[in-house]
Amino acid sequence: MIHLQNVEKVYQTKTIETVALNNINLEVGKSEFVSVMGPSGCGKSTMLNIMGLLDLPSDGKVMIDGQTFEAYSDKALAQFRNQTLGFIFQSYHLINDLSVIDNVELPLLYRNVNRKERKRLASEALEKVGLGNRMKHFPTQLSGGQKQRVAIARAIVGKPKIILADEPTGNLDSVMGNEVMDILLKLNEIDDTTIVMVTHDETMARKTHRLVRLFDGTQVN
Amino acid sequence: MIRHLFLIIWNQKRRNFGLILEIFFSFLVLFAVLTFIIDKYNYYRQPLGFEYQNVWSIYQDTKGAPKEEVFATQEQIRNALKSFPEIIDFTFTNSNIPYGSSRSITSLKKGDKEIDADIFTVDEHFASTLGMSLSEGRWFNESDRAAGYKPVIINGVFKEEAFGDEPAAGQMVEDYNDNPLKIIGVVDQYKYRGEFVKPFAGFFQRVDTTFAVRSLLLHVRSNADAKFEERLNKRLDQIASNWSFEINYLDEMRKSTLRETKIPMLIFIIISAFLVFNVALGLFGVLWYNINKRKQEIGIRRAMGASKSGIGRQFVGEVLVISTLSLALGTFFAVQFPLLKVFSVQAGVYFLSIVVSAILIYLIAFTCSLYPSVQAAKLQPAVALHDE
Repeated sequence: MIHLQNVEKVYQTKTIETVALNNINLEVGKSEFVSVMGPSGCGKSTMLNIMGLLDLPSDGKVMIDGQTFEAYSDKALAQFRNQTLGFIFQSYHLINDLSVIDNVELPLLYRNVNRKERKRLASEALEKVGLGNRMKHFPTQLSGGQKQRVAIARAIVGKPKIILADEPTGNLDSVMGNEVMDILLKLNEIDDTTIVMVTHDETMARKTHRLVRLFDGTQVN
Repeated sequence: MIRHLFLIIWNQKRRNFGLILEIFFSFLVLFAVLTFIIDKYNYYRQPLGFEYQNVWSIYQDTKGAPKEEVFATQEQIRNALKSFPEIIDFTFTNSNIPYGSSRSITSLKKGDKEIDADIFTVDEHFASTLGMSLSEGRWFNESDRAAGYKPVIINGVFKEEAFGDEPAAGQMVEDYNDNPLKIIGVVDQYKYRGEFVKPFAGFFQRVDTTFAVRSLLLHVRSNADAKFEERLNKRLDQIASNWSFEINYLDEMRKSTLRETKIPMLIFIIISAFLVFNVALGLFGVLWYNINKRKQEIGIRRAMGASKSGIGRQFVGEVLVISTLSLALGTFFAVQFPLLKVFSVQAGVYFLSIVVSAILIYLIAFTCSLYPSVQAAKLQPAVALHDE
C-alpha cells in the first residue's frame, strides 16, 4: 500500500545541511498497522509527511496505492490526499471556528459532496467514535480525548484507505490514550484501513502489527 | 463552498466586526462622494442652452440716476454700440446674467399649482445675443409692445412642472398678483448658474418702463481685443461720464463658477481617496495578520484535500463575503436616501452610486486580498501544520 524506496530528506540553509531522512526503504502492506518509533528529531514526522504527500523527498521514490507522484499537479496531489489518506495529529489540529460536525465534514467539502450527504457521513463518523452527542459543540468546549476522537472522525469520514497518525495519544492521559488506540485498532481490524502511527509510547506501539524504528533519520530495524 | 465561507465568517463574527465596520464606512464615504460627482456630472452633460464664447458683460453703475435719465442714457448707449463693427449683437437685461452672482425668484400660478421660478428681465435681443433657440413659439419682438397681454417665455423645467408633455406656447399663467401672463415661447434649457447646477424653473419677461435694467451683454467678434475694449470704455464714458462700467468676459466668469464646484469636488475626491487608501492598507494588514494566525488551519485544509488555488480562493472568498456583508449593511442605509428623498438628487443617481461604490469596494477588497491569499496558498502544508 505504501512503498518508500531510498527516500532521503535534506533540509538546506545557506550555512547548514540537515539530513532528516537517510535512505529509507519501507513497505507497508494493505490493512497493516505499523508504528514508527524513535527519539525526538529522528525524522518520524518527516517520514509521515512524505507518506502523506505533505512534503516532498529530496531523493528517492514514494509509491502509495500503486501510484507515483512525480507528474502529479498540486491539484491532483490534493485530490489524492483527499481520496486516499486520512490524517490524525498529536495536537488534534481542529479548526476552532468550526463546530465539531463542520470540522468532520471538511474532507468531504473538498470532495464536493452535497451538504445533506456531508452531514449524514459526518454524523455517522462521529457516532463511530462515540461523539454523536457533541456535534454542535466547538473544539474549545471539548476535552483532549474528545478532540482527538473528533480528529479521528475527520480522518475516517471520507473512508480513506490509509490513515497516518502522528502521535495520536501523545497529548492524552493513559485512559484517553487507550480509548483512542482502541478506535484505531478497530478501524484497522473492521474496516481494513492501513495505519501508520508515529508514537513515543512503547505500549501503544506493541499493540500494532509491526514496529519501525528510526534513529538520526535512518531506519534501524 | 460559499455556504462554508459564510459559516467561517459568521463563526468569526467578533474578529471580523471591525473589518466589516471599516468597509461599511468606506462604502458610505464612496457613496456620498460618487453621488455628488455623478449628480454634478449629470447636470454637466445637459446642454447649457446658450453661448458664452465671445460674450462680454457690462454692468452699469448708474450712481442712483433717476429711471428716466437711465432710459435716455441707455438709448444713447444702444445707438453707440451699433456703430462698433466688433459687436455682433447686444442686449439689455437685469443683473442675473449667466455665471453672475445675482438671482431673482418669484412664483407663478398655473391653476392650483404654484411654481417657484427664476425671473429674467430681458429685451428682444437677448436670445440672439446668447445664441439661444426655442423649442416652442417665438422670442419677444416689437409686436409685444402693443399687445394686450403680458408675454413671457418659459424654460423647459417650468414647462415640465406646469404642463408636463402638453404644448405650453399660447397657454396662460398668472403672477403672484393674479395678473395673466401669456406664454409665447419655450426655451428648453437656460442653465445661467453654470453647468454643474441643477436646472431650475424660470421665465423671461420683456423689459419695460417699470424699472431700468443695469446689465448689458455683448456678443463680440472673435477679433475683439483690448484696443476695442479701450475704445468701448472711452465711448461709454463719453455718453455717461458720471456712471461707472465694469466689463467682464463670460468665459472667464464661467471658469470661476466651475471652479466653485470643481474645488470641493477635488477636495472630496482627495479625502475619499485617502480614506479608501487607508482602508485598503488596513484590509491588507488585517488579512496578512489573519493569514499568519491561521497557518495551522491552512496546513489542515491542505492535508484534508485543499489545493493551493483552493486555499487562495478561500481567503479571497472570505474577504469578498466580509465585503458583501458590509455592502449589504451599507446599501441598507444608502437606499434610505432615495426612499426618503433626503436631498434633491434623482433616485437613479443614488442607485448608480451604490452600484459603482460596491464595485469599487469589491475591487479594493479583491486587490488587497490577492497578495496575502497567494502567500497563504504558497505555504508548504508540512511547514504550516507545525506552525505554533
